[in-house]
Amino acid sequence: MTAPIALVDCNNFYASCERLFQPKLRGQPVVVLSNNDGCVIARSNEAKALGIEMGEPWHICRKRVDTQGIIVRSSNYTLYGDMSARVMRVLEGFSPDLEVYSIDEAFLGLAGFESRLDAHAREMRATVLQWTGIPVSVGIAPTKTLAKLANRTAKKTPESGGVLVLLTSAEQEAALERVELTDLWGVAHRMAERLQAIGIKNPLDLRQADAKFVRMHTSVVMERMVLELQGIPCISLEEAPPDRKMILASRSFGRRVTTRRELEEAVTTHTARAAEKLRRQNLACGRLTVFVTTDKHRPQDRQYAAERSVTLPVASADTGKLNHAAMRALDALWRSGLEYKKAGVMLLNLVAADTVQGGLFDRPDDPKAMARMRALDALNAKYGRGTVTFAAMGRKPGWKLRSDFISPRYTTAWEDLLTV
Amino acid sequence: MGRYSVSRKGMGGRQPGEATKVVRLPLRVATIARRIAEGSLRPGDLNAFFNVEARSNVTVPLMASPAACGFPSPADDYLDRPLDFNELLISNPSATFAVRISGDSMNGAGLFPGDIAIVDRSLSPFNGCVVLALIDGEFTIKRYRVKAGGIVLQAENKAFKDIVIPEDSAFEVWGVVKHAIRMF
Repeated sequence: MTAPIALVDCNNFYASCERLFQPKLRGQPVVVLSNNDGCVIARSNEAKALGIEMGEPWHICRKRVDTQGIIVRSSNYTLYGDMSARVMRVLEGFSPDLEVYSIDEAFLGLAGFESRLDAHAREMRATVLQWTGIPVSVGIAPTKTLAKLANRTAKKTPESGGVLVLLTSAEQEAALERVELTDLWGVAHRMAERLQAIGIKNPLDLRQADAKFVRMHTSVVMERMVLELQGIPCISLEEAPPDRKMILASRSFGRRVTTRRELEEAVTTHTARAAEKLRRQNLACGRLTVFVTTDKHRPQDRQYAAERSVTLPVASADTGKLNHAAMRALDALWRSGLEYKKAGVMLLNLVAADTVQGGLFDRPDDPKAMARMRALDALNAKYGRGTVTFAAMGRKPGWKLRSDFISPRYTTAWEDLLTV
Repeated sequence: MGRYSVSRKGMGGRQPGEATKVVRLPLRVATIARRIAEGSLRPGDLNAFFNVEARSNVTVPLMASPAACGFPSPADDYLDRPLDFNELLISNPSATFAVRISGDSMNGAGLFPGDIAIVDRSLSPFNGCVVLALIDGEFTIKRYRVKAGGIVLQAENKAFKDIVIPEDSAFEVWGVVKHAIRMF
């Protein structure tokens, strides 16, 4: 048998982080809003029971939330990021093979623990809960897809104590019987319809299907899914995170933006953020895309959404050069008389900064300019974001992010500590 | 020398007229004994003696002088890591949290309003330790006592009464208070 894989998933992670420092929120329905208080991105079990849906726009569910006594928080990514790092560090102590999959999930390879999987998982769960205060669920199975299923089943079955091991065929089939196709990891609604069209009605059918037949009618991804469901691992543990294909910086505005000057400030700010991320990973980008949209939730307004890309002559990580390109893209995008809701910058064609080739007329980033960028990044890292900025980013912009219900940064700012 | 100067060679060591004795010591101990006699003992010397390990990344000076030429610096043999407060205050980073004290119920234990208490969640509470506890959803810092009648939370200030935890109450130890920091 291949080494078992565990999926550890934090229960209602954002709500759990909020509750750790605000115990009054325990047992209460809590929702967390996305950046800029746009829509619901996390719900406590109590809020789920009240029928609040994932992704509901805040301005639509606001009334309902107010009358039902639901507690609202703006997302506090500083806090969630720190708590996530703590959870992952505790998990590292339980297996040398850890793949952080998202802010609240990690896969662990459990080779060598075969004889005591259940006990190991329960110990892991208890330690994470005691040390960090975050409740987690653990699903263990021979493949990632089945581990996801085990985790989901553990969460929905209170008597499991948050841990479920699916090693035998009988255990796996019993769990598969209780879910729908769309509950499987990576099966979207449209794919489920295509599967049903070829006679695969449920996850058990999919497990028993002929992998080649499924591939013929759908894709190689579904062929892998069949094998994974049969307990044959096709998606391996990636210990080193894959190289990034794209870097994105985008935000909705706190209020609608109508002037070109403000839109330029926002795009420059996003470019600077994205370029900082780029340099942190020692990358350079060969292409930059700027996009803007109006508010699609206001059908009475004139609507506009557009993007423009600029290919750089030579890949660069210099904020100055990238911003020059971004401003050229914005030149082509700008329409006056509109109320803009969101703007963003995407950096594409990422390459390692030290392998950039010069062209006949253009040279790679000047070492002096890059030294300046490193100094800029170091100052902003040491004295806080925004210490040194480009003048074009504007000062105290009015379009800044809205977060009306944000909790303090309990674990990362001295002035925000919990007071007892 | 000025009237207020107390600096004198051999300070911290032998008093004038005090008797001496020749002893044979292992080199490590002898170094420390000599430092004590010279009045130049530093915390780092004891760390090296007890073989304390570094837990966090700090810059470690290797040598004070280039190795190849000239006279070696007389300080080379005595170089040590700079003090690292993380090492002193945080034994389990994943489980360590900081909170600010507001009340004065723990004045007797040296916890005053404005102080920062360092809380370790990985420790289980034991009789006599200071805990950050939750009673009915409210945070409080108190001395943790295990008595015949159950758990008692004691303030260290006569103006506050002991809190006896009833069996069925919503009580939880959030973490154990290990240190406090005060800014003057």
